[in-house]
Amino acid sequence: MIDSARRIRPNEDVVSRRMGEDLVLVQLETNQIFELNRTGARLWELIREGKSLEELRTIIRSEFRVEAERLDREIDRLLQELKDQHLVVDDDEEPTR
Amino acid sequence: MNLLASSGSTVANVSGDDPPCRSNRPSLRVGFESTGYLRPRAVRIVYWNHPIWSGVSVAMLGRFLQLCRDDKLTLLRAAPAVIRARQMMQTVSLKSCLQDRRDRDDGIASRLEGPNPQELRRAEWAVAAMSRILPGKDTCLVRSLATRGLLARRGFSTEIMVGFAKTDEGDLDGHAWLHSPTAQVPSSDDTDDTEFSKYTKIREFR
Repeated sequence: MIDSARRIRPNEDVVSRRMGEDLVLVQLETNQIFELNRTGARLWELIREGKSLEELRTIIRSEFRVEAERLDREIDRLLQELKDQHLVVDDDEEPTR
Repeated sequence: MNLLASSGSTVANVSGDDPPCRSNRPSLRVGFESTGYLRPRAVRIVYWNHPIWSGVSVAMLGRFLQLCRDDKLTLLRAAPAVIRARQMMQTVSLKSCLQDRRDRDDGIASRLEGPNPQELRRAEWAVAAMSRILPGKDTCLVRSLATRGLLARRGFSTEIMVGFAKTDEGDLDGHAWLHSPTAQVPSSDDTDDTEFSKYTKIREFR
């Protein structure tokens, strides 16, 4: 599991906007556009608020009825996908210019 | 105008129905086992189709010669602006296109006010005309970039807006347009204001 104390933040090259229940992400460096579903959009909002992974998990657990272990696994998977697509970066990473 | 040249449909599909929700808290729309949290999306962008380039005709030259001096100059300056915008779209990232510093640095003196409506219309007309003549894909973003560049050379400051709209079928439409303190510049072939305002603006790029 990803270290709970870690914080991640949206990549500065990403712009996001709610479109109904979903959220559209535009990666301006890779020219890719993504859509997050309602669950993913909620996670994105928490990331934007600067929550640590532990806080993020706690909040999501309280909002969705799902086993903790399964939830953690799914959150880790989504976070990894977000990282792979350069949509989020570790909070201690230097912003790209 | 197209934001990104793309064709085809959504790459990944959301699968699964919403699980039953037993509280009034937000419920999951897709099951945890699904792969639909993050989906790459193709965007349908606004573009104009033109016949294959057949050169400049004598009739076109005749019309050009009848233009006033300002129109001629603007039209001639629009050509490199369109070519450059198309090159940028093919070679650099959206970020570099949208935050192009050269547009501003080329300005003789960055004026605080935006261009007057007449300047806007002239620049938009010239870019649209050159976009039809020059070979290459004619999209809303290219036109916006070219028009912004053209106006910047005259010292006028404008910004590019990028917006999305969801269709009833769930597809994403993308559009880009220019904005200035003095006027909005939907491209001349655009539909009316109602259609234009359907886009949710994601950000303006100066």
